[in-house]
Amino acid sequence: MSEEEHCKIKPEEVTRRDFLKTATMWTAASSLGLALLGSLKFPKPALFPDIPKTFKIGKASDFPVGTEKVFKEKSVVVQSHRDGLCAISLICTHLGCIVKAERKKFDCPCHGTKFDDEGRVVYGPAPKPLEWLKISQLPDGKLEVNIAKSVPLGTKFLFS
Amino acid sequence: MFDKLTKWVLERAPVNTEELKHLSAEPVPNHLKRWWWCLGGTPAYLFIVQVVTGILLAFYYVPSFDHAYDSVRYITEEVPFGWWLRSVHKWSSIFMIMSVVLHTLRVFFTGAYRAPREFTWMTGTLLLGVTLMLGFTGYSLVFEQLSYWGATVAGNMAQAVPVVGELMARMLIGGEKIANNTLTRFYVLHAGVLPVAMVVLIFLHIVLIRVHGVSQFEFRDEKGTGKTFPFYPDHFYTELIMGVSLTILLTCFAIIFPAELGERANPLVTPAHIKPEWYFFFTFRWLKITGLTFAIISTGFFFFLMFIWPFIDALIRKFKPKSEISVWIGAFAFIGILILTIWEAVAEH
Ligand code: HEM
Ligand code: FES
Repeated sequence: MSEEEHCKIKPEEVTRRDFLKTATMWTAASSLGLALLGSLKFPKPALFPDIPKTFKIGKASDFPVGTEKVFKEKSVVVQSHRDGLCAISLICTHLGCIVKAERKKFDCPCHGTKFDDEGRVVYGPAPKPLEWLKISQLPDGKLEVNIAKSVPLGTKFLFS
Repeated sequence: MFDKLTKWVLERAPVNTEELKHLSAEPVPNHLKRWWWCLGGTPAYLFIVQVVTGILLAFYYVPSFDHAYDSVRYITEEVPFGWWLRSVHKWSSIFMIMSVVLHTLRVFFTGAYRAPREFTWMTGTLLLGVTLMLGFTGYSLVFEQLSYWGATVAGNMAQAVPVVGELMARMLIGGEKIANNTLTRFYVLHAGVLPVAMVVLIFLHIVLIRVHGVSQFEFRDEKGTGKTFPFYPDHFYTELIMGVSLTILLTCFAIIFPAELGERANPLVTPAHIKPEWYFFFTFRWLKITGLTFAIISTGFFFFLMFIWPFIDALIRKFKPKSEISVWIGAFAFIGILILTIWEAVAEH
């Protein structure tokens, strides 16, 4: 096989000028594309992992049966029932407004979702019930709520 | 003296004045004498008002979580004529949205989006979108309670978009919650990205209009006359009269109903009565009466349909020539939006 046959591209088909033109175009296009990708990464914010996800709510004895405490800073309400404690998030599951804790119900001012005393949707566009949050006891006896961990609706925390 | 100066300038900047005269005196059809056909120039004029007042407001506005609200209060209460500039900016934004909507209606119901003007219509719908986004981001900058909760709801709406939602929301809000990052982002959008997009789109829009000419339209009393008149000076003066009237109107509104400043944003309390600006009433009501995902997908779909309507209309007319069903669909959609808007306006909750 001669060298001429081996070479797929015949030299006279692609001139040096054409080759350089194409090469320049592709180089320019790909570097532009990469630059664009890079600049899209720029506005994508890093997440801040050190925002505390838990907060202390006090001792179990601070919650005699029937008490209800709203932790406004955290948008959480803690209720004490005969069968245990529960922490319900006050952030509406529709689009994130803070619901108002009323007697035996929660109302969202934004698109009018109404939740019952356990956070189930009674009326309105919210797709899910209010979130129930995990309560746990620390070694020193204090209780803490984890706003990043939800528990199934109705799960009560029983303290000894 | 003046002639000498003109000559000196023209030697250095050789503009062909004859050509310019010819270009600007392009004949336009007679129906442009009607006010209804001058609505396209109105938002363009108001945009210039927004740029001028906006640049002035930017002298004192500080886009940060801690200072935004105070800087707007400073503009409103202490800077000489600050309240007036802010009010003109606010009213001009309202007029701008109204005129863009009216202009859209005029174009739709006269069928002026049909071939070969599909691109003109598409740039137009993008302009409508940019205008609405400017209104939303501007409103959020004030950082009063309604701004904060409006932005929260919008961020969470972005998040609810299937597939790309998470990324979109994070890009828009600049994190997980509305904070410093959010305000700088909204500011960059409001005073940088969106105005530039607006200028580019207006330019394309006008080039396309110029290339195709204004759509021909015959009124019964003008049938067959084919009358035209030159763009400059005739039509130019019509637009100028609109501009002057608008300026007077803007100042009157700014003085009689100055822009107010609500309660400072409080991330811990959603106020009991929450409403967006009137131009978002329809989405707000739609969110109340439909499920979340459906509300978002249907709104997106609506704007997409609107964007490509010229092609859908052409498809319909291919199978049913001369069909004017588009008019009925348009009327149906518009009345729907109107009903949602009025419903939200009169409803307590
Ligand atoms: C280059 C153009 C623009 C610049 C530089 C600009 C700048 C600003 C600034 C600094 C503010 C915050 C101060 C304040 O609230 O009074 C603001 C507010 C606002 N802007 Fe703009 N803007 C521009 C165009 C527009 C356009 C085209 C619209 C709407 C169609 C618009 C609508 C608004 C609204 C609704 C507010 C809130 C007004 C209030 O309640 O006080 N802006 N703008
Ligand atoms: S955010 Fe609560 S109903 Fe929409």
